[in-house]
Amino acid sequence: MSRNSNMPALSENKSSTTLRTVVRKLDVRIKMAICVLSSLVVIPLESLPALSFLALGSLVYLLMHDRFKETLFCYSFLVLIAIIAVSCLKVMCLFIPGMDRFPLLSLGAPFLRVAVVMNVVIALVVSSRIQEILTALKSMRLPFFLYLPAVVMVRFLPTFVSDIRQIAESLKIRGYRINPLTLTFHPLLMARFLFVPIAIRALRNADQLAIAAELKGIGLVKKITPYGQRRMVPSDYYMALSWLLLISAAFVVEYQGPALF
Amino acid sequence: MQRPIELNDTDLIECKRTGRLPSGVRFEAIPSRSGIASSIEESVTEKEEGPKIKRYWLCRELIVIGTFAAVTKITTFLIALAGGGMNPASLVLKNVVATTLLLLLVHKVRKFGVLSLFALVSGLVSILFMGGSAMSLGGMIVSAPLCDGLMYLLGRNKKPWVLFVGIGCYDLLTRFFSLGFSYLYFRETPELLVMGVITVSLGYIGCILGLIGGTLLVKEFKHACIIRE
Repeated sequence: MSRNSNMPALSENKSSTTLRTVVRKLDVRIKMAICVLSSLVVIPLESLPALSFLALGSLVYLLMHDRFKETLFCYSFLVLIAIIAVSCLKVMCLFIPGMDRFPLLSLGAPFLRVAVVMNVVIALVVSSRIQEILTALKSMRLPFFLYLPAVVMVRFLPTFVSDIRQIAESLKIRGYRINPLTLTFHPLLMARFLFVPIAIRALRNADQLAIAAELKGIGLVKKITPYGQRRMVPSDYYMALSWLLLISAAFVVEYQGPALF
Repeated sequence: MQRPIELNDTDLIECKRTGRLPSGVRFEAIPSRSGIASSIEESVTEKEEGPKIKRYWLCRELIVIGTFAAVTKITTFLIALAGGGMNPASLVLKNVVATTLLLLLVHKVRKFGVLSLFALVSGLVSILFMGGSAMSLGGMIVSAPLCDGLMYLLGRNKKPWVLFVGIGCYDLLTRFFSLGFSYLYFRETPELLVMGVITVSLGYIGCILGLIGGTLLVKEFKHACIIRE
């Protein structure tokens, strides 16, 4: 067999994955800024074309991260929520006669807003490591009383999720299942079985972390040495600029839409 | 503060043996900056790390606040997920858990401003990492200082009933402001706000149950010395 067929030139694929690689290696601060900006921008936008445009742009940004399973799961959940909301509205229409006059399409704007925010948040969560997020928080130079709890909150989340998994497994061993049915029909029992171990673990972990932090002298001096700061590269600025252009285009569609279409 | 001068080796050995300075030793004054440590410790600390500072919030209190903020976020999210979204039972349960955790927090950290700091930290992480809208979180950030002030005026965060009333008011005010801000998301279909009002009312029933359950839980935890005054 020829060498070419055994070893396809990597450079053939390099140009097609460059944009995806760039998006995945974006600075966490840029991703956070995109999250904040998107959550603020969706509020003044009202028209379906503008929101759809922004939702499409954010979906493309999310799909570049190649996490299709998580994207599909979140969109399934969003569709489920939308169906439940529509069903609840139909039920309310039976009891409140005035409510049946508005069209279903008017529900599109709120759900498109949720979709835009969901896309950017998933992109941030799936492509950022905990240490990068902590470094980004440090670079924001927050006051100590905000920085330390925020860092603990971000750092503690994976530990806590694994604690909950352990508690759920121990309940499963004892024959208790956690699912929507048990939560609906036995809420007090589930609350006791789930909540008390969670509260005790949280208090114990907080005490242990506090002792460890005090022994290391955290909070006693002004200067904390940062761990591996990352500098912004040109691709970060280009992505920020692309998002600003996308948002500007969405506003153009919002306010000039009838003239354009 | 003073330190002895002109100590030779014999004097040092005598000092170590008896635990007292030998007689006839002269002293000089140390310029004290913080009044906390010896001159050696001071010079090392100040040269390498900067002067020690006193803070209102102790390190352990900030860590407890961060831990409880994380626990509240995760448990409410997981209960909503496990309950299947718009499930009234999971909605009530979510609020029971959140209120109980908040009550545990204010019992553990009995200081003025604990609710405000909790709201700020939760809001900051929510805005930066979870796409929380700054306007919808405004409800929490506006009501927290008001309730902190109320708890301080009623009893300086010392009595259990003061904390009970404070958390109850905080939940009520937060929901009131959040309904106002959520109008911005659903203004095209104001009829959906009816659903919002029903959801929030169900949630507040959960808060009241959480206050009662939380008080019983705090009592048990105090008895087990997990929470100490």
